[in-house]
Amino acid sequence: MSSEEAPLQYDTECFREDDERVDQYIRSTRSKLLFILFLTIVCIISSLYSMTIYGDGMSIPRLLEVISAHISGVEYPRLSAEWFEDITVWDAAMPRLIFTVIAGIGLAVAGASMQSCMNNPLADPYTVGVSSGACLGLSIALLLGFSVNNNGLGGIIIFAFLFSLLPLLAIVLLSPKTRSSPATLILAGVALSYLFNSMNTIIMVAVDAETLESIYSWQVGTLTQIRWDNIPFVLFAVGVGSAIILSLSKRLNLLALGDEGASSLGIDPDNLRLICLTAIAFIVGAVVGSAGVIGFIGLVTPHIVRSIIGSDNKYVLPAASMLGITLMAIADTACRYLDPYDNIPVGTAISLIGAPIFLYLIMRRKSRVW
Amino acid sequence: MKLESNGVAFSYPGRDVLKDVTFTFEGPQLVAILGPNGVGKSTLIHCIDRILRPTKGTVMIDDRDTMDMKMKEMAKTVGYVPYASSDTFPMSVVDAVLLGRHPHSNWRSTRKDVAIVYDILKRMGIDDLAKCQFNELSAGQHQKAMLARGLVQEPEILLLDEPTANLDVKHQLGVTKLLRDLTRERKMLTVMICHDLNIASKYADSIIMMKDGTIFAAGSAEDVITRENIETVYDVKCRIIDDGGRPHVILQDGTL
Repeated sequence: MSSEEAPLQYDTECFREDDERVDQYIRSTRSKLLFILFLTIVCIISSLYSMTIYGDGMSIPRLLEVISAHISGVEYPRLSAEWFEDITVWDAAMPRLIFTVIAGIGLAVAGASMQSCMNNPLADPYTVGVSSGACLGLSIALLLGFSVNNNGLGGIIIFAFLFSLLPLLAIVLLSPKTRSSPATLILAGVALSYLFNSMNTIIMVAVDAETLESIYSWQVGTLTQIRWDNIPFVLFAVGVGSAIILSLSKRLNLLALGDEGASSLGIDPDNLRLICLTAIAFIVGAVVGSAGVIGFIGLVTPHIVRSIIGSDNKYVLPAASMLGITLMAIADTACRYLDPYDNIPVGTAISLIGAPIFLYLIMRRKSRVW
Repeated sequence: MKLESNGVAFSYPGRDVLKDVTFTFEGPQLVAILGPNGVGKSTLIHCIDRILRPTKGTVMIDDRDTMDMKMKEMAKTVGYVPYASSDTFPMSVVDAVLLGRHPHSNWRSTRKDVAIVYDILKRMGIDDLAKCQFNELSAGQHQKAMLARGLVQEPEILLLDEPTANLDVKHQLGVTKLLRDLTRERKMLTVMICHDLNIASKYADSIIMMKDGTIFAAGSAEDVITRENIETVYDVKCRIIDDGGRPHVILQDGTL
């Protein structure tokens, strides 16, 4: 039967332009957009505030002044107060803030899409062994003599990045033509994590104390070593990865119906998962390679957002991103507030702040959400 | 529309599930697939919807091999409502049903999509639940919402895997009757897997009875629901009485 003589008859009320129910639904969509706008404002304020900590309590207006002066090319006499201010804001605080923004977006997008991909609320960006791969790459780089303090940083990032892609490669190679169900992928990821972790431990036993400290700080996630040099690569990887995932957000929604339901609606779940996993590995590999394993953001931000605006990834991805940035900025602020010498790893602070909030949200809800 | 299965076979490594399934159904009607557990009913439905690729034989829709159809075209032609759906993440009923519009919609869900969803919810008598959470519905409401999702897909052929499982008798009757009515209203070919012989006999226009991965009997309720067929296929004793022109099965104690 050709589509012209479509057999489906709908009630005429169906296409009324002034349908009250439809208007109501559209309004609920707008409130989701408003929520994203609200989160965006919160994230901008918390990011700016996190920068003021650097400048010894520099006010936000003064901060913006310094930034705009730098952008318009104002030069200060060497070693003057303004010159120091400019250096602090532009060379120390800025790259760190920009990285915070990129990593917050990347980890949240990776987390939300990983949960959809696996159709599992416990999945996070590290589920398929990406983080343990990255840690192993880092350890191997340090073992081979790359150092964090000098020009070896690039080498370390590349190693961590490549190794974070290993689990994905393993999945692609090990499952040719077999149906890679979410459960299989998660189990394979757990197995690979154990393998990588044990290899990592062997390396940690073998190295000297200084290297051990570097490896350790990478495992908990730290922003101390972030410089302008780190930004382009992370920006590229997170930008491309997030754009890919965002463009697939509608299809990702369908995975919630299970693989059979999704494929009956015209998508190939196995292919979709593979594309998303590649994008996720890209994002996470770049972030972990630069700052180490920053946990919890990818797990928590999508859940918090979903409990408020529902599970449509079209809205969840941007909202979780904004929340991810906010959480990163608050944690970073707290770290430096508590220890001006910047010794508290940001990953620790995120868990310390995020876990109680998350627990509270879970306990408070009367209705079953997950 | 015409749905044809020509010698469809499907095997998992070392195990043949379907063997030479051949049938043709034409025009709007409600078809029930009966048969004992593990006989290959779900596999057959999966082969029709191309979720599984038949190892032998072809499935034709309006004389076209489904393997030659594009995914999106297939999704617009054939709808499938699985036996159970997971609801891992919180979603309102409207949003859950709206997913069924995917083959027809663009990046933004248009007003028309939402209107169609509300219309079908109303037709199924669950429009008051539109804003409830999908995973908080009762089994009967959940089943209706899943059916609604299949219907907003506007398929010409709708495949249902045990749409009345987990439902009490009132909802079993209600949902099956609704299916029959919608099938006529929308001129669809509806194929449902069913375990209740009497429900199938009462509402289905045609019945397929499967045994050992192939069709044992097919035709109208009177042709298929007979004492001999049921005793052979299900291995239980029974008696058939007439209920307004349709056979009604009364199961009896003891096996053959």
